[in-house]
Amino acid sequence: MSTSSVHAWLRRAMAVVAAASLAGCDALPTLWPAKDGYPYTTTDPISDFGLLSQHIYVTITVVVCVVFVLVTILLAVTLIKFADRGTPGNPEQVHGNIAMEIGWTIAPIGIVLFLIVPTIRTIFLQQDAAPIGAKDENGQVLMGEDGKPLRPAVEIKVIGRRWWWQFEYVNEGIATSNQFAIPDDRPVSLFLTSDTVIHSFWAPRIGGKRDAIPGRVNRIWFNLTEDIAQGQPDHIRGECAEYCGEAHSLMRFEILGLDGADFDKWVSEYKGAPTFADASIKQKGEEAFSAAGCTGCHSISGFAGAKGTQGPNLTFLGDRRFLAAGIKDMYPNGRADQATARAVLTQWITNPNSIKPGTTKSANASRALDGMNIPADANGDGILSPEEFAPEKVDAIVSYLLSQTSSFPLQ
Amino acid sequence: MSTAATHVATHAHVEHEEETGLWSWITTVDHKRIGKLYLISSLLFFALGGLEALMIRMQLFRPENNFISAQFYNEMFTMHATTMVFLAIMPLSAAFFNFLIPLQIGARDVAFPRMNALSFWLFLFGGLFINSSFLFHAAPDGGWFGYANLTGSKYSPGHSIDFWMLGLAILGNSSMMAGFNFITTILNLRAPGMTLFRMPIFTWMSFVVQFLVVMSFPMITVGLILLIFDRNYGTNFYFPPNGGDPLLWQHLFWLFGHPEVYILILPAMGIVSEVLPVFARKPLFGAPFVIFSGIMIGFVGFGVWSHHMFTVGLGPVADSAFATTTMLIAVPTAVKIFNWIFTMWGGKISFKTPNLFAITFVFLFTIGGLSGVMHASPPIDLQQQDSYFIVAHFHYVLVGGALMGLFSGIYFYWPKMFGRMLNERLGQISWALFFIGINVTFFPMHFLGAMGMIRRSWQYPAGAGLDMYNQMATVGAFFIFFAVLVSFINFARGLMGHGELAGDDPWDAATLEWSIPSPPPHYNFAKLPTVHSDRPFWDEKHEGGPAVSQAKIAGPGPHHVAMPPSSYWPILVAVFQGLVFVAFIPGSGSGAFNYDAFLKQVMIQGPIALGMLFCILAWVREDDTPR
Ligand SMILES: [Cu+2]
Ligand SMILES: [Cu+2]
Repeated sequence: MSTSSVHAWLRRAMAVVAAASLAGCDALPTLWPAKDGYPYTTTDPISDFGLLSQHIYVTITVVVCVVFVLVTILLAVTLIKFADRGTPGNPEQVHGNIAMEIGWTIAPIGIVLFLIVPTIRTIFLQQDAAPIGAKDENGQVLMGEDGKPLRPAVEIKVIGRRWWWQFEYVNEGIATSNQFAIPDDRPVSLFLTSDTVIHSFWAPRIGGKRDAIPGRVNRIWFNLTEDIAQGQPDHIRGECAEYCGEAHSLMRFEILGLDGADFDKWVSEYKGAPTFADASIKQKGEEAFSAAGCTGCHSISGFAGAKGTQGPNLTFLGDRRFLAAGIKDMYPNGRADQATARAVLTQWITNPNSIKPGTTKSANASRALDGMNIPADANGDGILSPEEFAPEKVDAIVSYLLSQTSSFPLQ
Repeated sequence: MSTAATHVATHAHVEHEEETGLWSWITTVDHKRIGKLYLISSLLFFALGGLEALMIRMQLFRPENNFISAQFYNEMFTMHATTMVFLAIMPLSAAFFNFLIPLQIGARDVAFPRMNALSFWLFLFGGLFINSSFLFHAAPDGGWFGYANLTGSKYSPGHSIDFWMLGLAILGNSSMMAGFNFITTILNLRAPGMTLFRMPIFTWMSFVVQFLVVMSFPMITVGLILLIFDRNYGTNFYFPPNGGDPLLWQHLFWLFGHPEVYILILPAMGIVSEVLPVFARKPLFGAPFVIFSGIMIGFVGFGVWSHHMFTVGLGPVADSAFATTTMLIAVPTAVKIFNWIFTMWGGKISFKTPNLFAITFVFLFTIGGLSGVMHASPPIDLQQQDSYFIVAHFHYVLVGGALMGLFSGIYFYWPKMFGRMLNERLGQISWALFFIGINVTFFPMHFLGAMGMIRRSWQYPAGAGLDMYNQMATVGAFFIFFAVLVSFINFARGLMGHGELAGDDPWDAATLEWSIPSPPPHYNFAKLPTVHSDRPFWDEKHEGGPAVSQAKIAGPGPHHVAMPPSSYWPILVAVFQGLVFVAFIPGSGSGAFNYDAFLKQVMIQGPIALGMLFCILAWVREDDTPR
């Protein structure tokens, strides 16, 4: 199917859905909007993928509520009207009524038909061919002079680990963990998979979830529908929705929704390495990082010795607001309060299980066989004590990681 | 014959009448005693599952709470669900299958009384076995649907999953045997004149359930055997790096898991269909439609399993097909709800405790059914799946629905079971607490789901708007706790002999079980009645129909009727069969085939299996002719 016919079909279907949600369903107030402190809300979508779900969600909710009210009224009237008031004798022994039976068999069939048609249309719209690039207002893909899309879809491989997320930009060669950026002016296409157990990628404001299954690749694609102003990124939260073991509830992520031009800038910065105002921070930090054995599992751009892939990529860690896969807020009092951030990161390095149970392989972490291994933790209790690793060195690592910021630190 | 003469004549048979004492309960093959055993043990497991739920709710009272550890929390929700589904609701239904089906169809026992005992003992041992895992610090923690490959030996070392999978295998065995037993009983042991369409609705719904059981449990059994092989012998059915597929488990599990939903709800629907007419003093409205819609639900229930898998990426065609079949289930369900309401319409409704619970079933089940229609639509399900919205939905169905129906049944049939009335005031208090508790606990969960709270979450973040509704839910859970407590006090009082004598027919009911004494003699019917309608006892009392009650057709007792003798082989077979499964434990969880370990396992299991074989042979050779 060509993209233009897809688009025409999409518009036709949208018209049907819109017609189905008559009665001004779409005009219903948004319950729990994100801006009022509901970062994981499902009722305030900001992508075409999420809006497709939203349309039918509203329609079915209205239908279901109407049916509920009618049945409740019928039940209440019955109970009040026919309550036993002590009159003698038995009521008339009515065994049934064929016409009524046929009536309440057909009525729900009608409702089901009314709901299933837009449902199936939406299913196909959401899972139709993935977009290849940004489109103009007529639905035509914008083509450059080289015959390639002018603003091609951003393709990101999403890998669920225990218990964090890895994001790999297919065309840009960028790898990040637990946070990634998307543009508002071109399609985004996510390839979901896992190298451990089944996880589920869910950013409720983007839209519905899809499972990240080992041995398979699932896809979600969408265009952000909100217009993000330059320099004012939107913070979109997400979480793992499929039970995946001990710290399942602590497997979150953050998406940085960026204006198109900002996104291009973000890509160019993230393709490179962090710069340091004070070269000694980098030097001391790299030394301590190697000494603790962190390089075996973590990668940091610009640090030739750190090429590990077992653990999260820590480049530009200073950009992140949350630590430990979207769990621990490093800046609860704003970006100026570096002391809290340092304290949180120090705790995370020296005693990770106290923030996220099951993080390390140690005996104290009950069952995390694929968990983190801290070589410097000599006695294997999951705690990096001052005897095992000098606090100054932890400090050096903290300074080194926190000072790696791009132009896009998350507030 | 004079009364005195009757007494003289029957005193000679006193030694043949019902035995008492512990041994008589262990060796019993009487369906009513087995029903009571199911009732008591499932209520105890239910209490355990309820305490686990309280642990969950207390942990979720505050965001980022540390009341219990993540590991313990995961064990709690796994065991809460496993207990409630397999050890509380299902056996509570089985209590009614056992006690009621023979009485309702006018039979003296089930078709295979000893196999019936075996079913019970297997259930009890299976339940104790799963829960014994707590003693070994190896409580199951894989969730009640135990998704592969998390349950594989790589990600679940230790024995926690072993307890779970082997326990479920034992329980499945128990349910399958009971299923065949009741199908045979219903098809073969009906009283003269009791045609299929004169059967009471509870028996009908139970009949459908038994077919669901014998067709769906093999699916999960296959899934579990493959898992046992993966964990014990290093096969790769579910482990992707070596060519396995974790989705194979999901298909096998939900092919069982969805029919299981109807296994849980249909018996409660049957009970409600008995209770509502009695307390409206009318027949069930459109009984044939209620029966056929139950059958429809049974059939379509096998074609909807992938609605649990809309997020795994089955593609638009499969999603559309399963969305359609799932929504279609709303049709027979709606038919039932309207028939229940119009059963009461035009009646004289009295609000005794059983009826309060039954009406509550209709109301709350409607909510659960309607929210189910929402995630029947995959685009919506993508937002609701694995969120608290789903938790809200299935608790409305299973607590507001199944449990309320079963409590209605307990209050309704208690007088028949034990011969004494339960305290009406305590029953009403319990009902009120339930009604408040269920709605305060589970309704806010819809909102939590819409706010993006994932299920199975040990901690939820602060500042995500989730605090207030979680607190409400926790408060509501304590209402449910007290509701259960009040009912349990009521039951305990009843068991200790409090309450007025019930008489044969305390509710002025319509079906055969009310035409015999309460509690019924161990032979049920001294003289089998001949049935002429679907409400034989009502017709005798109110319409001048032919007599079916024992008082009229058999005269006052006691009577002697030859009944199957008790037997200790069922419990022995159950013990040995349980031990065969237990013997898998030491070698399990390695995830690799180890010749020595395998040899050791066979050396242990061999003698146990031989013991079981011996018991089965002795069972076969035992003289079980009624005497
Ligand atoms: Cu996960
Ligand atoms: Cu289902």
